[in-house]
Amino acid sequence: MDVFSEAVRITMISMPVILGFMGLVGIMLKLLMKAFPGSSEHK
Amino acid sequence: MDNLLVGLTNLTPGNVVMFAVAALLIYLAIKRDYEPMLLLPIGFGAILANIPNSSAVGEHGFLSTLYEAGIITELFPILIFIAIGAMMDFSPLLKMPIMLVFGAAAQFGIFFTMMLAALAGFDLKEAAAIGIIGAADGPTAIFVATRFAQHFLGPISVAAYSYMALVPIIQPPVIRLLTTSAERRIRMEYRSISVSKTARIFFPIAITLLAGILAPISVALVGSLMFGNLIRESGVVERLSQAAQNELANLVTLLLGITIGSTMTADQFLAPATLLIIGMGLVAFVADTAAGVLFAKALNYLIPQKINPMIGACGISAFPMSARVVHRMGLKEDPQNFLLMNAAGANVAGQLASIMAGGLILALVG
Repeated sequence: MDVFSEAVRITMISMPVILGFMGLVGIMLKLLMKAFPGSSEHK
Repeated sequence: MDNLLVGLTNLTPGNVVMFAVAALLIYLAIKRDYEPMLLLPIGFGAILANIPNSSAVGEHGFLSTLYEAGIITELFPILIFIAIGAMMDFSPLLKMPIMLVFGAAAQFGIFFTMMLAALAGFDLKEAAAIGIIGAADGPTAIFVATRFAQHFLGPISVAAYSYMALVPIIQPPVIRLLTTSAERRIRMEYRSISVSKTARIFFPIAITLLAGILAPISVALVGSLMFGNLIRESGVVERLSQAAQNELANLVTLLLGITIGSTMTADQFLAPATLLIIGMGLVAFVADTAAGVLFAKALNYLIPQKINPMIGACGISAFPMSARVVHRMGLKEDPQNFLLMNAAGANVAGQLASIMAGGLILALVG
């Protein structure tokens, strides 16, 4: 496989993985904030 | 007598050009305040390395010893990550987890540039090391370049730190090109929720476990960043936290800069590849910004609460410059539009995502 095709393949794998990882982190943060809420909340 | 003149007789035009490059870096650091903590030592390191028969480099040179001890072993970037972790406040992210997606989107510049470098004829490892300039994160760039393309460490580091300093010049035209004035005026709510100390303490531990299990090769990068953050948030080792934020950060930055400068020898730096790397680094930052903005615009079609698309540009890791740039642009369009906290959340997410991107590149290319 040539270098460009390999770079495209890595991109096609990496971007969804990064997005998925950040999504998991987001879920984890939501759970953390629910499990250990702050003392006050206002807008 | 010959020994006294050896410096003069061995001076090449390449050395003189490198003195000019070093002078430019020192000028940018002192006069323009462009990343002076790094560009000043890098510039001076380049002078030391390009003096013919310099005793600072070579078999017993102190810069070569530092290079072997701190760069080849990847120790310097790791120590810098501990310092950065101790400096970073992740609470804007804990308050607004939605900002995490912009951190992910803005990493596209890394991969776009990697493909571009592959087209330009670099091999895959070199292309990956060039692409990582788009992480907008100096230590990650150095870490990956050390693994994959040590011969390009000088230009990659200079490009990464220079463009980070130039974020206020690079990002605004790209953002303006891709957004309308109405989009730039979108106001965003900021919920001022207090984050409990327990959540702040759990955050670095949980991130390390999550990232480490998904991509074990990223443990060195993520783990050191999160270790620094745990020291900060635990509240029980204030002296260590202060030492990481000040003494460790300053000392390692000083040694890192001058050591990288010492790799900028005329025979390695003065090559067409250097110009290509510097040019592609700029492409990486532009592509990061564009991807973040376009992703935010696309997201606005899917979610009811509109997001100011400029926030997408903050997904790059250049913290806090990028957040400040977007905040100022928002105020320019509408003096009552305060985007700073939202922008800071996306910016912190970029720091996390860039390390993950670095880890993935190490895993997939290595």
